[in-house]
Amino acid sequence: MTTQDTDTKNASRCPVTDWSVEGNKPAGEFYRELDDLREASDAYWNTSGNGFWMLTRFEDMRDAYQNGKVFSSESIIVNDPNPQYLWIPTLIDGPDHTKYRQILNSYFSPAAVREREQINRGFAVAAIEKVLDKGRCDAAKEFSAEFAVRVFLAMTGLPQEDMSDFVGWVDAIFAQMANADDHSEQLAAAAAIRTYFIDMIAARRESPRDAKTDFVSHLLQSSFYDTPLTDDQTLNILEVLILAGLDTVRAQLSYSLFHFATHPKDRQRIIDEPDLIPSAVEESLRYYSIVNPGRKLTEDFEIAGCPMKKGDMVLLDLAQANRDPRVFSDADVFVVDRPDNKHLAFAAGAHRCLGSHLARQELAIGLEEWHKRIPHYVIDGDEPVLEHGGMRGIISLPLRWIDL
Amino acid sequence: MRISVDQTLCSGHGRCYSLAPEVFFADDDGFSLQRGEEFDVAPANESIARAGVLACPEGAIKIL
Repeated sequence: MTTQDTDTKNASRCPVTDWSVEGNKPAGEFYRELDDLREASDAYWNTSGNGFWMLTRFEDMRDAYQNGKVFSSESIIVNDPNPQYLWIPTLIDGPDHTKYRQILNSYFSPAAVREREQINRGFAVAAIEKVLDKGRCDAAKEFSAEFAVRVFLAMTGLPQEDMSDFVGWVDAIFAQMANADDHSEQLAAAAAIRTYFIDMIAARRESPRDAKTDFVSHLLQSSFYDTPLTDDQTLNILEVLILAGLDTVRAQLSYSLFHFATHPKDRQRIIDEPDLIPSAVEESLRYYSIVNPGRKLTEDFEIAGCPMKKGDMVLLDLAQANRDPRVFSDADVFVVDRPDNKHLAFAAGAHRCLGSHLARQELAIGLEEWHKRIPHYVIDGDEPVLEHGGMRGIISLPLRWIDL
Repeated sequence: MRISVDQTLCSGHGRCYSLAPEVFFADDDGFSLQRGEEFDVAPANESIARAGVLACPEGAIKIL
């Protein structure tokens, strides 16, 4: 970052900040900081990492997400503007992106997700029953992660025995994603995932399974325009689905339980009225939005007074949009039955999260089955619960339901 | 009440048909079956229709 660059950005009316997306802080802290930044300015030039813009309010952010032509998904991590990987369809734009999504829709549509409800519910119940008699557990690991990973493995036809490998790989990737300087462990984990899938693809090519129920077989029997998907395209798709489907649900479910552990009135509400759980899920998505994608400018573009240049990165942190008081009344209050909850937790525009229907189902099931068996619980011990930056999540969530 | 669903803005969040299944419908991929269209809403359904309109993150649904 040269002085000249900083001066150029400074020449606009855009305030400058050095606020870092990284770090471990007490749970909720990142959200307060992001709220403060939003209220102080609708845009920033951020000098941390590689340098990037920030748009902080709902309307500008939604406009940016809807304008994929200017705000491209060529890179979506502000501290990694020139990625050495190609996540499909995440880092693709335009008609090609739509084509790829069409290949994936049959597994992620609302109807497909509904069909998996019984199986998914079973995974939630099994995870809870494993910890029930202990009276305490790390819910981030023993419930949220356990449940989310098992759902994912079942849905993609991968062996349940490979569970701990996947958890380790996803951890390594997310731990370094926010780090501008060192991506070595991330690349090593990505390589391990790639090797795993190369073997899986070879196995499915040799013995294809039913494309309707085996995801890898489905990909191998699909075409991109008129050309069958190559091994490379298939690998790239599988890679991003691993990343998109595991840590996200784990984090969101953990934040939800953190909230209900620390807000007994809200918890009592969903115990008394379990029909409110879908609404509570929406409010958790709004209030504890975990995803903060970036976009890369394809051309010079001015927005919110910022002279963004072609090639610049801009952070569009969904938590800032979702807690914007210009759009949500009592934005800083968790309202279990909030109406008109048009949050952007799954972003907006063409890249709207493919897994949104599945995520909603998992979150509702997770909360339903947990509270049926463990309606009352507290944070166990005196250590503050911590969240990590980058894509946010709860690091560890010790809960206790004995000796209350 | 007359409603329109924008063809391009709908990106398949599914809030409308989840909240107001009497008024809004999904296609096989979870996008609005009514995108690019205008349609009338029965008076009895106006309240939930409004909930569906206000829940769309894209602002794709308008009351005309």
